[in-house]
Amino acid sequence: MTKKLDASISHQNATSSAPPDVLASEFERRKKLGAYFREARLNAGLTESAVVSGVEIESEALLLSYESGRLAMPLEDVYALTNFLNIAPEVIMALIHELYSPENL
Amino acid sequence: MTKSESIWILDSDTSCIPLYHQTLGLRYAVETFADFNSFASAFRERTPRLIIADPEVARDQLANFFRSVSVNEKKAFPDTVIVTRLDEIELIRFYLQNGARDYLLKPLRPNELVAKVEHLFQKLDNRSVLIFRNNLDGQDVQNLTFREHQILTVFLNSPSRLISRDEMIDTVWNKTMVSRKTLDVHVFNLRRKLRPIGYDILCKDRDLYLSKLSMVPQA
Repeated sequence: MTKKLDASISHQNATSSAPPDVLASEFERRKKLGAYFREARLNAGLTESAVVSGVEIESEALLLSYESGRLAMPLEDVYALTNFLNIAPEVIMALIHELYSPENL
Repeated sequence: MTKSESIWILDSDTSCIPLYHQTLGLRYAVETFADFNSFASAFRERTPRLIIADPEVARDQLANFFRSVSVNEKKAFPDTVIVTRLDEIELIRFYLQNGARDYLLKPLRPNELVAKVEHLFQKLDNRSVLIFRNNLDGQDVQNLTFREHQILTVFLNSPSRLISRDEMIDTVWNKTMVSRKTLDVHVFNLRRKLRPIGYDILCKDRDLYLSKLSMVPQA
């Protein structure tokens, strides 16, 4: 029990020790990527549930979390959404490259 | 089967051409060539699904063409049926050994022709995905992985057809259980390799299809 508590405290310290601007910029990147997918979905006239059933994302809430940037999107889901929304692969790769290029990190 | 399945007929026999149109023309896109040169020049730009040829039009040229395309260009020669009056054992041997699917003797019997062509198309549709196809409009798609090759082969074996994700997984991975997202990863990478040569794989109501880039709806 004590060990578990120690581990939890050290994890909290590790998280809180990350500089706030790094976390904020990561959140901004997720938001931009999510917003791009949301726009593509709305342009295609698809509801959250249509996309969730099409690409097998676990729930609509999870999709909304991706779109709002609250959660990081696994690469598999990026591929699945890109295919499902007929987005050109080079466009999404260029966006990811831009968001994660050294000058933006 | 749609009318987009193209059959090219190389035959100068004017009594046979109407017969082809009346039988095969009802179901397939039939294009006829009366001389070898027009046939060869069209073949350099496009590839039909099936060729029906009469060696009498250009006996030596057709034989050389068969040999050169299959050996030199490493290009999958379209399935070919020879229809001719020439009942010569050497000729029959040559064409069957060089990839002709059938050798029919004239006079043509319409029912036999239609049934054989139907059977041939059925066999082509059920063709194994292990026989790789990667030729789009005469261009080979380069640097494909094994799975990408198989996926592209499924599309090329069923042109102009929607393929469901489950059907694709069953065909490519057979009995192996894989996630649909695994398919998505392969499709994503295949799309990246197809787009520079003017093709894309699109999704419609969760099903996939191969499309020319000029026909892709803009997002």
